[in-house]
Amino acid sequence: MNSKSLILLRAMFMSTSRINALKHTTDKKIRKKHIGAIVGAAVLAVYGAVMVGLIAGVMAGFGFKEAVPGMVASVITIMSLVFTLLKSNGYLYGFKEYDMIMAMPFSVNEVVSDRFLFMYLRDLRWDTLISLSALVGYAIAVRPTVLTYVLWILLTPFIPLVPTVISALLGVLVARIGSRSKHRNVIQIVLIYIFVIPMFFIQYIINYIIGSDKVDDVLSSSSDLFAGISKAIPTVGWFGKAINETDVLSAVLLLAVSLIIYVGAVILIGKSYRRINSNLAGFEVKRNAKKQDASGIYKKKPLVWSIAYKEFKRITGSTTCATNICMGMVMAVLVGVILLFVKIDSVILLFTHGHPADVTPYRLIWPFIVYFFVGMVPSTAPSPSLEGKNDWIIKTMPIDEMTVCRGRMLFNLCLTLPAGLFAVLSGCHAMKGGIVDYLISIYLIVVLVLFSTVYGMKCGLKHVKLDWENEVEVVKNGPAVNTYVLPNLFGTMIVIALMIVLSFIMDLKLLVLIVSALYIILTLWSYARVRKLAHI
Amino acid sequence: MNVLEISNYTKVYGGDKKACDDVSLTVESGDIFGFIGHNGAGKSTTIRAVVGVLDFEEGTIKIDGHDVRTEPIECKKITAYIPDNPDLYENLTGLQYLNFVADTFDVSEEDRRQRISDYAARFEITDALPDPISSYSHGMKQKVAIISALIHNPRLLVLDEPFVGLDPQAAFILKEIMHEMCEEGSAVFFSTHVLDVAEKLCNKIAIIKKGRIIANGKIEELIGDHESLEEVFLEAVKDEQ
Repeated sequence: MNSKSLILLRAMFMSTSRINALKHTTDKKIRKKHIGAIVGAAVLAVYGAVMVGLIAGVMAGFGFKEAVPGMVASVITIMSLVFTLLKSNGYLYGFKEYDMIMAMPFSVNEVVSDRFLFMYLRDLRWDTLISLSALVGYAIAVRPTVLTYVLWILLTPFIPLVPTVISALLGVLVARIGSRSKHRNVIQIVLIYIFVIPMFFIQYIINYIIGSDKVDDVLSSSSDLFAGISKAIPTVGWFGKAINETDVLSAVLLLAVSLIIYVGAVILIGKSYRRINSNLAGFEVKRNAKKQDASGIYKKKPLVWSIAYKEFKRITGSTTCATNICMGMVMAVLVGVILLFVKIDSVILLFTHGHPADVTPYRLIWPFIVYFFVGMVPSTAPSPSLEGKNDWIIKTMPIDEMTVCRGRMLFNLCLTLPAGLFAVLSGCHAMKGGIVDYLISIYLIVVLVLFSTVYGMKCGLKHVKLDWENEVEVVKNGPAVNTYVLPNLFGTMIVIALMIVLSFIMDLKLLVLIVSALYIILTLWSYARVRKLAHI
Repeated sequence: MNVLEISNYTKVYGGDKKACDDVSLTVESGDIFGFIGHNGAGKSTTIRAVVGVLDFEEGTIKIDGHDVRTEPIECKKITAYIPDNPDLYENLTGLQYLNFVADTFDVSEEDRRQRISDYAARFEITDALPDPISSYSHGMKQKVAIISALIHNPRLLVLDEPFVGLDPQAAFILKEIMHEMCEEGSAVFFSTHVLDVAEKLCNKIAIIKKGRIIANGKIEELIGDHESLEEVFLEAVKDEQ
């Protein structure tokens, strides 16, 4: 890597660094925001480190020490595969400052290499945190040799390299196929879903491949799973072998293969990089696109619908937004479709590693599981930040901020409610629910989606970030999205677990009513906060 | 009648840096008011406060008698703004964007159809309107921004460096439109670096330097015995130094 590349890489990090922004801003409001985000990230990091360290320590302490390196490498690999694919459009290509950077005296390979390294190094912070926390837990339980420490620390940066390259190449393939068509956004979104969705089910795919139906408890089940992943993904296997057997050859293999694949990928991407970006910039393709029929377009629409339509075009017009925001909806619909055609017992067997279980008494918990998907990332959370440089348009219009919020919430309801209703009804049908179950399920998903929409709006307004360079910064890593996602994710998991446990001592229908009442109270509180933040 | 009235407007950044200091000026019905100054003098900071994009701490800004801080919606209903860099919704087509703006200003179907087709024809952009804005050049985006600003027939048109990126013909049409608006009783307030344009187009001028107004008045009075506005500007700026 030459000094020019380093300068570019440094500039990319500085332009997105909160610490750098904090150092140079004197505005108290902005400083508070940056400090809040840094503290939030630090809390998340500490929480993640403790959790990973505990899991690694418990696994190693209970006799599954050989599974720990595999677990670390598997988690990092799957994270890198999923997140890189979701981010490569926006980070690697199709980014705003493309023209400016390409006009500078950098070779295409330098730009590709730097953009790739930027994406890789940003994620490496979290990968290193996971790896080193696991090492601490592992070391406390196992007391390994010094060489194990050295190999673990040295090899950590190389674990995510190959999966990141593979995902980036898939991303480029998606971009390349999409860039040839006038419907490139739709093609890119569909292709990304095709690649990403199986990764969420990798655990079940691996179990299916290795036929792991002999498991009898969580630890041995996990141990078998990571052994399966180690077999299926060579880099995970090499890391595990290097640590467990202090095998230097595996370590060298991991290093060498990662570097060779990285260099090869940079050269390969570099060859078509300029063409893909030119097509994505869109002149020739778009200018030849069929002219849209103007008749009817002058029709006056109610204002909130007009804003909702603008949101629809904004979200679906960007691959990054559509893939991140609509992922939960797509998964909910997919599960709904599966439940229409596959017997519920067969689906349960897949998820319980072959153990039959009667879930029909818990059918009223199904809407919460559907909500886990459809409420993953509401469009209302990143929406105010997505205005970015367009913020002046809304601000100079004669409409109050609450009307804009209503339009945004309307769009999110249009997006999530049909998907949620379909998945809920499909699940209710599969679990042979009666009319009361159907009605309660519909009521529940409406309540939950309303909560997700309004709470997302509250987070979006409270943590608005307009000065972004790349929309990934607000859609994926934005403070509003993070503030929404984590409490909502853990909250939903806790609610599901509590309802299952409490259903043994009280009627599930009554429990559902109590929980839904709590969600309604939270929705009303969030709505009041939205009104306050919108200066009503 | 005063369409825009700025009184003692002060904008402070970061607690101590004054971007604008005690700015006062008045734009009357029929005025084409030019706002001149160096880069960073405070032109955009003033304009952004006028159109409601920027909050401010001291002073008052009134549009047609409505205070921008206490009656922002009333002010925005009669104002139009064209920024120096027209960042529009790239995922909408030109036509979709213009209709979105028309919806927000509650423009009737008949009026929007007529105004969009008239202005699009004048700026020779009709054929491009069904294309996505992301495929437009800077000048085309600027033209769409101008049409969107005119769609509700504003009482006050505020422009930040409006001629940057426009081709000569489009610049000529924009000047024509400014004159037409003023003849109908509206007012235009715009910033520019191009002193020749300001001299030919405006009937009133204000010069801002380091956040303070250093000259303000009718163009004939300001020029007085000087040869041109350029000479007045250079002299005013020099005197302040």
